[in-house]
Amino acid sequence: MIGTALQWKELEVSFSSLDIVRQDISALSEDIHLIKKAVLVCDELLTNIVLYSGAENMGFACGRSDPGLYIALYDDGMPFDPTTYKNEEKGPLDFDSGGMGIIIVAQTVSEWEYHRTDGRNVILLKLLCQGEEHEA
Amino acid sequence: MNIEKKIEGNTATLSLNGWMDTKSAPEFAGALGELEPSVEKLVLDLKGLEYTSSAGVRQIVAAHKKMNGALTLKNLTPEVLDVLKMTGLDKRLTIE
Repeated sequence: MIGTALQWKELEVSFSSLDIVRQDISALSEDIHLIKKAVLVCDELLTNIVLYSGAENMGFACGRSDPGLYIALYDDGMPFDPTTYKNEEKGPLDFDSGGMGIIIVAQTVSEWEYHRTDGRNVILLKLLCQGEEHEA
Repeated sequence: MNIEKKIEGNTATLSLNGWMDTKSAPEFAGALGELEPSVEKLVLDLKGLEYTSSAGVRQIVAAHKKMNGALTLKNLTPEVLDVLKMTGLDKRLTIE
């Protein structure tokens, strides 16, 4: 759905990689609303990888996908499919142990896919510009 | 992220400015921890908060718990309000 010619950038498995991701995404569009949504999605997913996956390697790719952006992330941590994550038992003020980030991602992206390939979790996401969201 | 603190009586107002992401959210946690014991009400002025991730939202929840519910959020930007709505917290927190 999103395109296969991904130009992966290797990232250190640490929160410092958020700065690189934010910089790369910001260069893609002047639509600040779209940029913030894309950074938010990456912030949540990278945080999960750094804190919980046990990954030693991770990577990132992004680009334009009119009328929006695509993002791809991989890590070599334990298998985890966020697209099927359910946590219906937690109340709004009971997110101390996690799960909130994935809920935010699910409500922010217009499409996302998960694959487990060659020992890697690969997530592909698409975000639409404001105004296109309701037409998708 | 920049945080400014103002105390009036038993009410503290923290004004958050900039981006509150996974890296910067601990700064807010630090400001919460430094509140004087005499503070009974907390106001978060979010006029200058351009972005928050779940890490920031968790700190807002922590503030709500620390203050036993005596927390008010004001001047939310659309982006921050959107994130609170996604988590259902807009219905549980006091927002002006």
